[in-house]
Amino acid sequence: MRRHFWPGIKLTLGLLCLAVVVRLLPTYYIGLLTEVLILGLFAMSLNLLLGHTGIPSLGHAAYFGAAAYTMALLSLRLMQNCWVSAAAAVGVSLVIAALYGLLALRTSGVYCMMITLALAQVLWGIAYGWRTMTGGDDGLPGIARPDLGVLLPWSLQDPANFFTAVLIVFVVVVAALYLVVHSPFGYTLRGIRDSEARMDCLGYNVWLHKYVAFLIAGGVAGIAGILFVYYHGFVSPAELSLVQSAEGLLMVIVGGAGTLLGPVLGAGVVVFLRNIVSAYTERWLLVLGLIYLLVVLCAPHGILGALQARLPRWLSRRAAL
Amino acid sequence: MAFWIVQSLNGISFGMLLFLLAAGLSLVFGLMRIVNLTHGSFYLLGAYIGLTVIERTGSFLVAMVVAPLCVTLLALLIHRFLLRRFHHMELAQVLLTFGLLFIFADLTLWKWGGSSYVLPKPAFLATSLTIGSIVFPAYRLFVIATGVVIALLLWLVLERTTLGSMVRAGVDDEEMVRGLGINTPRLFTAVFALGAFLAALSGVIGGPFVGAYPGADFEVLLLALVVVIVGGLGSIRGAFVGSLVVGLIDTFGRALVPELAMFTIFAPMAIILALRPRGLFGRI
Amino acid sequence: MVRPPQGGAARLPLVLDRSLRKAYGRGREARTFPWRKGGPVHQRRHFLPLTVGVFTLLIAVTVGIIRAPIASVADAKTPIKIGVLAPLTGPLAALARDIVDGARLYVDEVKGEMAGRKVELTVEDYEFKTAVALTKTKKLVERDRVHVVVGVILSAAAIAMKDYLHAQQVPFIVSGAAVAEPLMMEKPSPYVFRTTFAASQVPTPLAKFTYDKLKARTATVIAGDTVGTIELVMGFARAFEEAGGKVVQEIYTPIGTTDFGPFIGRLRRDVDVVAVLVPGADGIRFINQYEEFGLKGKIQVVDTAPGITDISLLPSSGPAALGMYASQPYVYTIDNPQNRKFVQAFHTKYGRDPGGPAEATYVALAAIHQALTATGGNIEDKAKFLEALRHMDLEAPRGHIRFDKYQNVITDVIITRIDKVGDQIVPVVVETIPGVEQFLGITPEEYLKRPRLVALKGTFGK
Repeated sequence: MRRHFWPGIKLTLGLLCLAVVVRLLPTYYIGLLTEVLILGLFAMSLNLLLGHTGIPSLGHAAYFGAAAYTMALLSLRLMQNCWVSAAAAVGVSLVIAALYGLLALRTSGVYCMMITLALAQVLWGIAYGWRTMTGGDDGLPGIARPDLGVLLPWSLQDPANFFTAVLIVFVVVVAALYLVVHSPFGYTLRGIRDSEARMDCLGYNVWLHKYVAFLIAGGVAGIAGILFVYYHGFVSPAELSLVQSAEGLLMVIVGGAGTLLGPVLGAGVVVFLRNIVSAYTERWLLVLGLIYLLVVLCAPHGILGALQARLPRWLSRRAAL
Repeated sequence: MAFWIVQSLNGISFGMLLFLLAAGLSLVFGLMRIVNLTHGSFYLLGAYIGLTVIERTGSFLVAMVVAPLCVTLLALLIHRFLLRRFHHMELAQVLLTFGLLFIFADLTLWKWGGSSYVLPKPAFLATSLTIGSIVFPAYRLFVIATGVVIALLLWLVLERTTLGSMVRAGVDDEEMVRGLGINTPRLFTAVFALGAFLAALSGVIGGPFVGAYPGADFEVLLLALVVVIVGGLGSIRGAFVGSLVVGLIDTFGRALVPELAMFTIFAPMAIILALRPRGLFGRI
Repeated sequence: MVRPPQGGAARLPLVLDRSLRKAYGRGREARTFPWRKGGPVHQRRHFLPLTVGVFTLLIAVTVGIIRAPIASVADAKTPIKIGVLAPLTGPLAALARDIVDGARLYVDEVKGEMAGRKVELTVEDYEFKTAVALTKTKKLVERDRVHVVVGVILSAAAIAMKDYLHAQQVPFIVSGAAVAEPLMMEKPSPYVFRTTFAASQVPTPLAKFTYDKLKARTATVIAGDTVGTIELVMGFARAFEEAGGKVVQEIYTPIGTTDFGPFIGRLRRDVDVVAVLVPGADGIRFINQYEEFGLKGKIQVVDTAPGITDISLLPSSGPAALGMYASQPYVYTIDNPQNRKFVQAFHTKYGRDPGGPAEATYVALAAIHQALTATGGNIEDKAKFLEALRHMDLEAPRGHIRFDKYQNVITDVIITRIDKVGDQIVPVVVETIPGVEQFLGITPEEYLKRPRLVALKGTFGK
């Protein structure tokens, strides 16, 4: 019995250590780690589409930004209960994913890429142009973190507390994704990634599986968007832009497409380069591009994938990651 | 009346500029199925190199020749050593060009700095033509003329020359063409280089219009994608018509309904995506 | 494999071929993703502790990096850190350089010391994007531990930064531009000061001048579509109509517009004056295209603040800008002793003449110096330092300045015309209106009851 629980206990202990260690860091680095977790969630949702199902999406920021804007608008204008706003925001990203999924899944491969990009740009154009609603390029500043009152007696203004809250959400979502990825549904997705024709022959409803994956990915991206808004207190069309989607793609590929936590590693690399390396050299973007190229050329499974492949057999466990 | 004429000319000149921008992308995509995201970088490099050449030599014509040649050389190297090994692996190619986009963005920022430049027009085109009550810049007419000429040349080459037929055949059935003794890898490298040439040329010609600044590569790439999606993937004729449609809709949109200025670029794209994802003249 | 006949459907073989290949799995489709040579994707070794270990490693590395000293203890001998935030990349890069150079000039003049403590400048680039401004501000405050932040041109960025800097209790002296009214008038923060000008201050005298001296009766306003520039032309519009004129048209161009053709085409040809605030590189393109479409000389253009006419942009807009009138709190051609000294020093050090942001940042640093001298070098006691800063009273290059109750600078406004003097394009001072403040002569309470300028957008020309 204990052997079944042992990985879970190790994991919980590890996370507790993380939450405690983080409090010792200066607030700047706590902030960066929070950002890693949030962007990691975003990248993981894209990974579900790209790495596990083989749908290349260059417009994933659409769901991220849509949820962010919904959250921002509801908090600023209607001042609702943050739980209701969060649910609405995730709902919006799901609706958009449902709509865009219908349009994007009519195509495949590079066509899918271009169409998802185009769809995200439409949303960007609306956010940019509809000044009265979205503030246009000026964005929406001044979004305050919610006072959770009942659940947490501590204020979320404190970076360490906010990190803990984000960590909790992160763990819950990762657990859910873990279940999805290791369920028969997940295996079917990977089968579709490897060969659609084969799965079709075997009798699976390929389109439906892809569509559901699209929805799940959109929803998780929405959750990341909500956390993002609370972290920065600000949202602008940049959250819907090609650059945001592109960064997500970068994180997935560098970290490890097809793994579970690989994209979080990728997010760590990007945030690390952008914030810490940029203090020493202005050419951090060049470094990022080069790392990315190296990964694409030499280690297409990403950093995590490469690490996993090289480990000796006896270290491997049944727990898939 | 003058308003409509001027705005139509504006729309057409902007459309021709879009065509110059998108032709390279459409060519490479239609013929080789590579979504060349580095296209934006080729534009920016063409514009910046053109700027430097004009500053050194003072001649716009020299810049129009030198800048595209430099970029073509770069594109040859990129395709030969990076992209060719991933032949038929479209996703890998896209991801590679995408990484190159970021790399070139930073390199150009490094070399030319953060300022926003507008290329100087050649002296003989820096005038305005006055017909009745309408004053219109000569340079925009030049852009229209160039767009039409390039479109004709492309069509001629692809449809009426042996080289063009080799390229088209190579796309349809590469193994057969190889069997006929034609060196397809080299052919495709040449096509990629042609795409880059067009992008860089549009950088020099569009430079006085659009300018050269950090971020221009992403913006131009998006514009080109809009045209390619509206006009249809893989068709030069589609790119031509699509660019005119987008140019006119955008210009009149900005002129008549300026609150939706940014949206008018993406609206045609959204409509096409919803109703006819193949594009107006798409050949999937 | 049987091929269907050629001709017409030339694309079919490719499609058929591909799906057939997929079905039979000749190993090639297995390389679609990931594309490493060697056949289908192999089973991966999955590994939980590894990932947690990698994370711990990342954290350890981070902790290792941050062993670098971070000044957390207020020590009278630690240097004063001033964060300079400027859009060094983007359409206003030229003005951004002014901000940085103005700051550096002042630090050099005081030999790197204020009230007995060393002064350090940390320069950050916010790329003219609000989101980046927020990130860089966080870095300046939390990582570099700056004591004061100066700079910033984009009003939207300043407004977004205000809440954060207020919460962090870091004084913020806006010295780039950031003229929007909400910055100082809505939810005013004791930590935010402004040495540049407010959107109401500078265009209002120009509007009166345009009505009285230029005899204009109708106007069109054109501005970049962001809150700062909108407010400037709205300030002009409101004052112009109060003087008796009529604003018949409003046109707003998105930031980053390259083709102004459609907008210029919309301009009514029967107006007397066009009041603009198209910032930075956009403005250069605008004025050049304005000339191309034959409007230069036909319709008078006035710059409601230093947009196209800022000295850093004049070399690029040059001949197209001749004949424009502009209104600003500072221009390098002001004739007084301290300005001559300032321009001389700036020119010697940087080889060019200073623009508005340079002088405003120079003044901001002078204000910090003055406040530090008053508190005896103590910047850590926020209340005392802010109080001292509020009492700023300086002989700046532009003239005598001080802050008003809401911590915005009270300044003279200078109206210039871009003329050719010899073979140089120079802003010539035409008129000086002394002591203009952001509430335009009425009490703050009265002024605040009126709608903010940005709310007036779209109300003219009906």
